[in-house]
Amino acid sequence: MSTESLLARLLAASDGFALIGAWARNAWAPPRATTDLDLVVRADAKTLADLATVLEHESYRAVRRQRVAASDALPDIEIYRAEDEDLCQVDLLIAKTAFEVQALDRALSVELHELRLPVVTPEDLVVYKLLANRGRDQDDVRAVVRTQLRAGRTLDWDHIVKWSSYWGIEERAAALQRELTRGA
Amino acid sequence: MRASASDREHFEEIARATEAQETDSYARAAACPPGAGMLVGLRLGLLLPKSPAIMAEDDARADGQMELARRRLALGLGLEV
Repeated sequence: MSTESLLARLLAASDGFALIGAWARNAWAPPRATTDLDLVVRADAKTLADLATVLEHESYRAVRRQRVAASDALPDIEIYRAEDEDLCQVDLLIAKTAFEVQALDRALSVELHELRLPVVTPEDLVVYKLLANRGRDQDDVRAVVRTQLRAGRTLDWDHIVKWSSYWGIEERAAALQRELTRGA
Repeated sequence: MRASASDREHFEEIARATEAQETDSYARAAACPPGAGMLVGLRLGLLLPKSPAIMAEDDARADGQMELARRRLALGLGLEV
């Protein structure tokens, strides 16, 4: 099935998710190749079950379910894979923090042909990327910020700083802001 | 042996060209609707062979996402602000 059909079915099944990762990056910065789909998902069993039903119906199978705390009722991440589909992997990241819940609540609607896809804001994507902080994430952060500035959109730095502080990574946000101010 | 002035000039030129290329890509992305960027990323992904290396990279990204969960636990974060 096409990726757009899969997205349409996921949207029909639930309004409890938003796109993060490479798809959000490609919405807010110069695109790069993506072979997977990352979704932040509301932490309730029904939402998770509804999305799983769609994925399993479309021949995806769960290959990993991980939880960092054994006592948690829901996993932290579920990974589905279908090697014959255009998108070979779908990652469901379960929203268990205030940061993720507000990222879901603030998600912007992005048009993709007939679909309206909920995508986390550039600011929330920056916080996600600052948190992961691998080389590619650091490149993504700069690309997102520079593209948004180029588009004449004002980034809400207070929001980025607030949620970076929440995660204890405020120094990463401060360093990014210093670097971009120097480069401006 | 040290790099000559022309060697340094050569690499400075490459750096300038790379920066100009990046600036151009930001400008093009800024002018592009967000949905169009997502479609381009998907189409580029379709050109990649589904090799074990690609699958391993997808897995590694998922491992990166677990960092969020580990930090949540370490900091004792929850749904309350």
